[in-house]
Amino acid sequence: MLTGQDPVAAYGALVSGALGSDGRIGETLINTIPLILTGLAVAVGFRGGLFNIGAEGQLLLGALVAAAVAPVWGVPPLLGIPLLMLFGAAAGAAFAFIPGILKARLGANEVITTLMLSYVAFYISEYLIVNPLKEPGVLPATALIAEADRLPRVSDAMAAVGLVEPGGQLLGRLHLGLLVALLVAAAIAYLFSRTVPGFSIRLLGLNPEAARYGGVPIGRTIVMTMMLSGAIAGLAGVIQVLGVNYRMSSSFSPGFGFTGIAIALLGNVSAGGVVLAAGLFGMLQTGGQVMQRTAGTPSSIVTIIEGLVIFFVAVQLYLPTARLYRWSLRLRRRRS
Amino acid sequence: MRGISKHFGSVHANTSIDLDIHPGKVHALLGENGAGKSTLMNILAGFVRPDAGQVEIDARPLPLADPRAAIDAGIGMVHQHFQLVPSLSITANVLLNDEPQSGLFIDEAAAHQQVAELCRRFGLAVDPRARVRDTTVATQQKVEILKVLRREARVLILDEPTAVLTPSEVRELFAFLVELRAHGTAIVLITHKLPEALGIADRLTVLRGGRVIATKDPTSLTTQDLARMMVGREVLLDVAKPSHEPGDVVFAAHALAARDDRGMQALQGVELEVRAGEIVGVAGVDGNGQTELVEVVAGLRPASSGTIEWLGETIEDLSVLGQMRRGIGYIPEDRRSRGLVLEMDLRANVILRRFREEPLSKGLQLDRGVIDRQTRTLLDRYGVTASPDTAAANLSGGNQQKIVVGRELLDAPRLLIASQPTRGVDIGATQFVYDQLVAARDRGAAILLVSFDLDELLALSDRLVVMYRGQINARFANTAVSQEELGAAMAGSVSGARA
Amino acid sequence: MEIAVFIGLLLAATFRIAAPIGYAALGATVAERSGVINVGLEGMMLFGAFAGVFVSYLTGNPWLGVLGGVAVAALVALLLAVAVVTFRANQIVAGMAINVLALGLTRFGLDTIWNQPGVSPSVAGLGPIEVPLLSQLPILGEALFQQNPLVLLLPLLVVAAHLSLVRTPFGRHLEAVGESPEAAESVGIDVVKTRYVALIVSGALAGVGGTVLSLGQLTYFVEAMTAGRGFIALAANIFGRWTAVGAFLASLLFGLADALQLSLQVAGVSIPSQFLLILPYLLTIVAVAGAVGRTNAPAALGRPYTRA
Repeated sequence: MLTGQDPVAAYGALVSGALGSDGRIGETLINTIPLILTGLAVAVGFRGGLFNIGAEGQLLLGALVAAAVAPVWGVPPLLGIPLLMLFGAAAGAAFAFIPGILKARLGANEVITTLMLSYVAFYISEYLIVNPLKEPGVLPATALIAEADRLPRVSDAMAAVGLVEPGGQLLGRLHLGLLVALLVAAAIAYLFSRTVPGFSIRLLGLNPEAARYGGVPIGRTIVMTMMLSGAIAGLAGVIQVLGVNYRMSSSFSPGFGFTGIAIALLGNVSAGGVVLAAGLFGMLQTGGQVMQRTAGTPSSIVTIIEGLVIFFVAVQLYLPTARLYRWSLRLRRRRS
Repeated sequence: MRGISKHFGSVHANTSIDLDIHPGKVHALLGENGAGKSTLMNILAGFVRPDAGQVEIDARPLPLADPRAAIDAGIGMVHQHFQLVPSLSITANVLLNDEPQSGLFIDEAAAHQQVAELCRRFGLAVDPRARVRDTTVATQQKVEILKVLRREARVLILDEPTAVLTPSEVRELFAFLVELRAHGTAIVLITHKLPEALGIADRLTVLRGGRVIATKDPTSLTTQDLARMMVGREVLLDVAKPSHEPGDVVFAAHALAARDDRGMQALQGVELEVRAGEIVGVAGVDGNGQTELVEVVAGLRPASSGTIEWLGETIEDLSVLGQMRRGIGYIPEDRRSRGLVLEMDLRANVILRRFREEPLSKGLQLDRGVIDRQTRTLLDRYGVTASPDTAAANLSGGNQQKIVVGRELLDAPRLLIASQPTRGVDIGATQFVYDQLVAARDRGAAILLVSFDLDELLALSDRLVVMYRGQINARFANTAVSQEELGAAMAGSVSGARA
Repeated sequence: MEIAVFIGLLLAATFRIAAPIGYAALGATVAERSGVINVGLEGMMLFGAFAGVFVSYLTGNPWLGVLGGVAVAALVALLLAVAVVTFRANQIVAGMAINVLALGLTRFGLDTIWNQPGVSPSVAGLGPIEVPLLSQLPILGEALFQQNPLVLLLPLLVVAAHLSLVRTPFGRHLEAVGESPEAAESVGIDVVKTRYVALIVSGALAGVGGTVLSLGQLTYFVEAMTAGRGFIALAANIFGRWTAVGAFLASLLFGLADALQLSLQVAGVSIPSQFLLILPYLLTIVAVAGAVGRTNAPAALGRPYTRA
């Protein structure tokens, strides 16, 4: 309305843009996949009382690994793709190790360290894209990954197992990364509800002093939580490269890592909630682009909605406040 | 004060209390923790609004729940937990929000002058330029007193002022109070320390369960009289403790030393032994190393030197997990911040310490069935009528403590450390805790009981030690020891130990 | 290139680049001394930068632009204050919300007002001025005294801030609120009001910092042009141990890192720009990790205050 457009038409375009056709649903889901993962990454951090604001940087590193290695190493995809996911996750974990250890040993505020490192990651990847890894051509980008080495489309995979006709276009470009993302979500849900390490992380996040009393090794748990968070973010980067972009260029990520923060909060830090919230934002993103084309409404609306979501969730969410409060109490006692 | 009543939820802190305060007299307000003394005085000083009753100064009614009005009427209160800004100087704290100015800036010189003048006037010696965080607790208390006195206080209320002072500092404080009294100021002293009250008070009021039990002239009273009035519950006298022969030494500490959170030496050369089947009570004024001792034994704090022995062997790797696995249980003094995770449900709190061990988990996976069963058993056995899904925050203090105590007893520990186990706990749950401790002892557990409640210590302990300045300075082999002897040891005199 | 010329270039660039960070860092100091972590400084700078350009576009007057930037950023800070002080929201999350909103709203503004994605049209900016006499000094003259007026204003503001924080009753009360709000409240200081004021001031300062970027260094607004300076400002405050002078000096240090990168490029030294560009960020990490910074934080920092 502010921009003189018909809101009904605009939102209609949003929804139909997101879900209007089989191909569009595919696009929505494609946008959802990295958001599920970054949302999970940030949520894992939150569970442990840590703010991994720099998931973006970890994502970039994971993507770098995949984009650099995949075109040249000649490993057959059946083995290569899972291995790359592993490497990318490891890269993200290693990158997140730094703020983790700084926090555990020195009490360094991870909001700033993870954020600063994400800028570092951005510049490092930019340098690598522009120089050593650059493919000849106009755009600075890495080599294109051969078709065989990419994450297969859902339609192709289903055709391979005989569920649909080969050559079909079911769900458009949607790739198997969706499966991976959902598996990770299930694994995280399981981690926190049924496992010992998950319980340790939850204790740390809710009451670090009681956690110490309960025998949880605080420093080690902080580092482990950050590394897990970084690993998931790194995985997101790998999947984006292998499933969508097939290469890495300067404008690789439209801020998936940062959107992940909103998603984690909106999903109330639970795995299921994150998946749903990611779905919502995926719809917003896809629908937003269509909305822009047809109704002329700028896509920045989506970012604004994102910001409002975080804001309103922040104002209502007393639990993290209480957590931080107790955490800061403990830090104060350690300092004094 | 007439007919003062106040309740917080279902707790009746004050019920129809009448109190008269006279100028130039020290009035001691006695009672146990939770008897309602602080609440009553907070009402007088305007920090809390009573549900009923009124307050009159010079026969004129005082507006209630108005700290400013109370201050203007000449009422000043020094709280137990000081309200000072540690990073600022003493002068800055005393004159906070009332700083002398020259132009836009604070006139520091004039400010220091003012404070020096106050010191002279009231006979308190502090260095105005010192930063509060670098000063001793006794000095900080003087700063708080200065803050109050400079507003021409006619009534000075002190809430447990001696809890944090050494004996000589207590003497200094009381000398000061005597001077102040001579100048006509009325002094109200909230305390639970009987000898002190008898020593300085002109009048005494004993509170129990929120009511006035008696207001008397102390000259004819003894500490026993007071204790009876204060405690007055048959429950305590019912600690049925059959005599029990202690077994072998289960735990021993030799020359144990450790530092506190600020890096200062909290323990220096502690020698301690606990045997199976005995309760060793640790007495002492708060801040003499009891907290640190408990933390070292529980594995939460490293020892800076000395040795700890378990079943005759020196422990090399002191850690929370290690101690737990040896069968050492720990009831922490602060259940809300350390003993429980209030946001989690009861199941989570029951497994808080042992979730890594079988049968609660196998490898990395938690066994929900076993956890649920153990939780229900515990709730059942200890009479907590709540579902395992309840968040711990929704339980009463007594029930919360039952969870903590019950949890630590689940695995029949060989050594149980109980630190302030009945703090903030209602009578029924207190009885429960006492019964559990005695039962554990009878089953052969060694128990280290740390408490500020002398009655509790005397009722439960087989042996008593007293901690002073990080060392054990007195030992009493049986509990036929008087409160006076204990008090003297707690105040620093190394008594001829009947060890 | 002559060493003297190089140093001159370096100094000039340092001050020019440090200025926006310096303003925001002062904002961080004020807010944190009152006990509130203002993570939204980045967003407030961005809002300020945008509003500055917009007002200058409308009026043709860059100084009105600066005022506009200050006003908008202060308003945003007010919003944060409501969330964080009155509603006791988590300070970090609420601050991040502001940052995301800033990105979205400024992008939206670019699209709807000028229909130009990514960049606004050029507007009247603040050109450099020359301080008489002093600017004739060799080397130093050009570096320090030929800058845009906001850069020249900063050191004066730092002095003013220092005096306010350390020598005035308001500064004293601010410190009390940040160290022990209970103690402050007990002597009648209004903790809520103090924190509101502190946040609004910090927002205003961030707004100035933003306009230094969009009206001083450039004369237009670029999407996300603050590029993390608001966060560097937070680190500068920590590095500077929560003092006005310290925050300013730390900002200079960060400015130096960035300026080094530029100057080396101009001097023809061929180090890839990215390596130098990450220097400020690495420096920030070192600052935050350094044990020096931690122990001086206001004791009540980050803790929401509940009036008993």
